[in-house]
Amino acid sequence: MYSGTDNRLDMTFDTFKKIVDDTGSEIFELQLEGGEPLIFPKLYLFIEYAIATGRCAKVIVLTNGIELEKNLRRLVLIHQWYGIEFRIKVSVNYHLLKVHDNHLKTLADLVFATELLPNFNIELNTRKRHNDQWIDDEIESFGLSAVNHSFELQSYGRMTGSNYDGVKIVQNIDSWEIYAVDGKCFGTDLVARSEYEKKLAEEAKNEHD
Amino acid sequence: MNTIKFAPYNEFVTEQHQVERGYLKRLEMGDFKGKVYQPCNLDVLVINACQNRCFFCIKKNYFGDVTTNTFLESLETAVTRLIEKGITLEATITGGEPTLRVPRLVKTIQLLHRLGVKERTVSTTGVGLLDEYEGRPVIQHLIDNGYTHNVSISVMHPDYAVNNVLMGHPHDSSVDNLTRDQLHRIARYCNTYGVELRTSTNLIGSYRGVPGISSLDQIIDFVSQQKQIGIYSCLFRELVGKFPGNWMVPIKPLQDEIAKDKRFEFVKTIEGMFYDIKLYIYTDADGKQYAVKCYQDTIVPVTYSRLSFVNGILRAGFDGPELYNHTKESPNECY
Repeated sequence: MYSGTDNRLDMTFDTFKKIVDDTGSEIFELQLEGGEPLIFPKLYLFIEYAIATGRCAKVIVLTNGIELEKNLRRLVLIHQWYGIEFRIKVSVNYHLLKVHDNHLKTLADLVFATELLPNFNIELNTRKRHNDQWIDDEIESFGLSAVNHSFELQSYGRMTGSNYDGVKIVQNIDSWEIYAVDGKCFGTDLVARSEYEKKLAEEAKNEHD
Repeated sequence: MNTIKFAPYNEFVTEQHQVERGYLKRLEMGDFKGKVYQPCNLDVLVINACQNRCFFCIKKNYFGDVTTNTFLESLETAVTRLIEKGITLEATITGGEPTLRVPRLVKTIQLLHRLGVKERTVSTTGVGLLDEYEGRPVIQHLIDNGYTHNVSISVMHPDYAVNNVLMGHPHDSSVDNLTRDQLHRIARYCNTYGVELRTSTNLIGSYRGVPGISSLDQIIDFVSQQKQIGIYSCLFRELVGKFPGNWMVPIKPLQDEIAKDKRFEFVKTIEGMFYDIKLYIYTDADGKQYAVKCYQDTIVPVTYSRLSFVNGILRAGFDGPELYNHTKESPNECY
């Protein structure tokens, strides 16, 4: 799913199914990104389909965490029912903390609720501006340091041209591919996909206008 | 007991058991000869101590304590005998405050789980539910042992200070009552695993000059406040016992008010052995629907609907004849 400020493009199930089916007989990890996957109406259809192949080893959801509390019961149920590993990677930044009261308190409670589950992990990926040390301090005050990964912002997407470093990719597997909302594969080129999706969204918006 | 219960509408059930199907079973055990209601509630008082001194506490007259070993051995003996006599039990874990003695609490629920006793309620102020024991919080131990239907947390008022007054919380107590943040954390934990968390509130007119929850508007406001922290089941109870007039709030007029209020849609009446339940659907301002159950006693029971286990002694009701007393025989004796 791609979502800009004023527009939204959803991946169709047929597109998703083709991507999954094209993995052949390989064991794979599914990483769902957005936009915000937890507001995507077909999220659970996608997850269930991937698991139904019998080849999905792990489900990773990249989220801003705002809708996580509403979804946690269902995600945990799927995890427990199928025994599939889940990693929920929650993005944290100054804007989210400014707009959403008690966001870290909520995340701390949800981490507490799931920390005994084997192979169901909620972790924080914090993106900081140069002067955002206070975010790490807040995270520590909520006892979340152990599940937090703290990085500076990157010169990428909306931040292209800023004085932050370029994209640094951290992946735990050797072989991975990323797909745009329409199913186009970009190998490991995050920036190219980002630009492509922006263009798609513009076109969709113009068409609509 | 005269109560009003709010519960999520998608869980439109009455109790753990079906009230309409309750029946009486003859029982002879110890000094007791009579009939007990089936399924029979077994109140297990884990500990006498509590951080509060509630004027309405129905268990305040019990003193003394046995060792945890004696407690567990005699509980096992008493429960095993009841089961052998064909009594179906549902356990209510209570106190005092059961989470003030966590090791005994956990061993008690593990024992009852092993003996196949179904859970009915854990009645607690919630104060130790987040405490860790053997590497997991107490709430997780409850879940592990099947106590997921009804974890009932006593809250007399949403305001922390008012709640403390109504629950007689001593200023010098070493144990504080739950804050709203802590209650919220418990609710999130419960919601993650589908545990039905409930608040339990006594309707109180005024106590020590502090007003409690006494009107339908206050009840609705309380339910709305609990919803904000993920709690969708709220029980409101008429005080049991005799108290000064301004302390008591009769529940019947509130139930009559519900019957006339357009926000409450009447569904049906369920006739139980000792009480009737009028069922309504309540839709709040946000469109959330609750099943609302108004319980009204019909007759004073001449039989026993509950047994209690306190300090190694099993009784009919809280003050009735003894069915088993650990001091009168060896708990390990084989029957």
